[in-house]
Amino acid sequence: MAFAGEDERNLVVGSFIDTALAGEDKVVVLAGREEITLPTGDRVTVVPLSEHPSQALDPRRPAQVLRTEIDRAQRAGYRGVRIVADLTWTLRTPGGAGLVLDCERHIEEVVGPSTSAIAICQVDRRACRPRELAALKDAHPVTVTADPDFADSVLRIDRTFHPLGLALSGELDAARHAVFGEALSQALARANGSPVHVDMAELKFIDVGALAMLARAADARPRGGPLVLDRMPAPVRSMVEMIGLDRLPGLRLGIPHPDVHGPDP
Amino acid sequence: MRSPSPRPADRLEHDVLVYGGLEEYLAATVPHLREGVEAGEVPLVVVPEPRLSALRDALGADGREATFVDADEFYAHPVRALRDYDRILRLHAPRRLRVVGERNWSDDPLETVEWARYESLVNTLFAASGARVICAYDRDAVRPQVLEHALRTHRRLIDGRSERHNDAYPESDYLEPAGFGADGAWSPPPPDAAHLPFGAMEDLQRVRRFVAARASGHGLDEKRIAALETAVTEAATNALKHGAAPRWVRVWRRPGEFVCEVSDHGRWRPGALAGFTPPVSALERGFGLWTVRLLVDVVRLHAGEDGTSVRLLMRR
Repeated sequence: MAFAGEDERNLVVGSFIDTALAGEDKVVVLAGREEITLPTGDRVTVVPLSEHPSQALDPRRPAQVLRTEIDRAQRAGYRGVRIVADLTWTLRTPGGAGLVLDCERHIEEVVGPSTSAIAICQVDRRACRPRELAALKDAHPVTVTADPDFADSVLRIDRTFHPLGLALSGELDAARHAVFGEALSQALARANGSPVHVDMAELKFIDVGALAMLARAADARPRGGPLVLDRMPAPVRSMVEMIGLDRLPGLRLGIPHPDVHGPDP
Repeated sequence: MRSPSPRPADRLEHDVLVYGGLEEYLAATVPHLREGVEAGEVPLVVVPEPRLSALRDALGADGREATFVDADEFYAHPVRALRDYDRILRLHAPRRLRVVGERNWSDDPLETVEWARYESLVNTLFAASGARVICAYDRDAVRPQVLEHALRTHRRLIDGRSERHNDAYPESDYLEPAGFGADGAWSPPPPDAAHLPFGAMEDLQRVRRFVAARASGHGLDEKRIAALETAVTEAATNALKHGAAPRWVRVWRRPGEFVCEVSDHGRWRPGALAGFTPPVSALERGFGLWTVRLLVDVVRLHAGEDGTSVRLLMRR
């Protein structure tokens, strides 16, 4: 599962855990360095995989932890085990993407044959380069997602929650202006005056009309916040620079695309 | 001889200097820039080397306030140059600009006409800017056609000895250079041009793919292909919105050039200024065509009896 914000993650993971708890399952959370704010207790076990930021993750460790936890849960009489693993933090350590894939392969070896264990591997797609995300998706038989605002074979629009806004992937031209306009005005309404972010990391094409729509939407906001264009791919960015951001009133450039920092490791 | 019309303070002064030799060049440009510095204007020098360095040296301390820009960079693309002047004017407003401009002229006749149009557009677009501009032409280096255009597009002539009203100036704000108009010479596409009909917004993606694949085969790099995809999508969108069926896109190569043409059977008549005016913002009409002009090297419009065509040229 790829997510781009806490609320989106909770939408999927929350219901995954709720189902587990309602069905007398055990929940195991493989956590990174960040604090996990989940109610722990008999039914939920949180296992930190890394105690210290400088400590590199042994790719076999998550699988070892899981094997132990699954055995323990079965001995304790749980019907099943639901596992949530978030290895996003590992992506930014040396050898990141390869390490995550390694970990997940080992996890798959433990979880795959088991009839009682289901795992969701989470990735924060904001920390991922598109190529990494594609490799991770390929490594998993099933991708779990929150329902998009809109999706067809050309364009996908997801709502994002932290930051508030939309994530676009695919290609956006006049054939999809109507659905884009609808999603945009809903995002603006939800934001209620705070800044609205448009994540463009996976956008392959945006036409001039859609950029003008963004500017028009920003201009028409009755109050406050700008529209922030995040993680703009290089071709889109060079078009915006060509036009000049000053001619797109109300639009701001947000965080850069991960690929602008350098090639994939 | 007509006498120069009285000039309100905010009216553009756009003069042509035809010089021979560096001494004559500096004798006209240095006082022009010094006068601007004294008047509190923003001095801007956009000329090629070695005159860029020569002007810097000649101005000495008076040049501290001036911005020196290499002309080969600034004058690489006419619509981008208009965009950049527009940006600089707005950045410094209400202060006026005091400019010396000069570009290296090539032997390409198409390029000559493009830049003649540019000089003409400056008169219209920046008419009320109050900028004082000298465009310099080296009489020993430029071809006669270039000088001819220069005399048609500048109100006053400075020829190194005297300043006078330029009699060749037609007193109309914008003059379409001969042979470059929307109805000017228009050679038909070659019979072997690749051809793709389209009829609905749903086809836009296919139009992009079609053009990108062939542009890539022609050796255009990724960035320029992306720009061309954006431009052709905009042209095809316009054909769908304002044109009439049948519609198609054609691509072909010419030596050193990739051409992509979007045609429909509508009767759109582009105005002379279509897409040349830098819009204040994307909220303005004309933003789309203006962006297309920025994105590709040359845009040519053709409105004929049998329909409308937009030709996008990418040089190699």
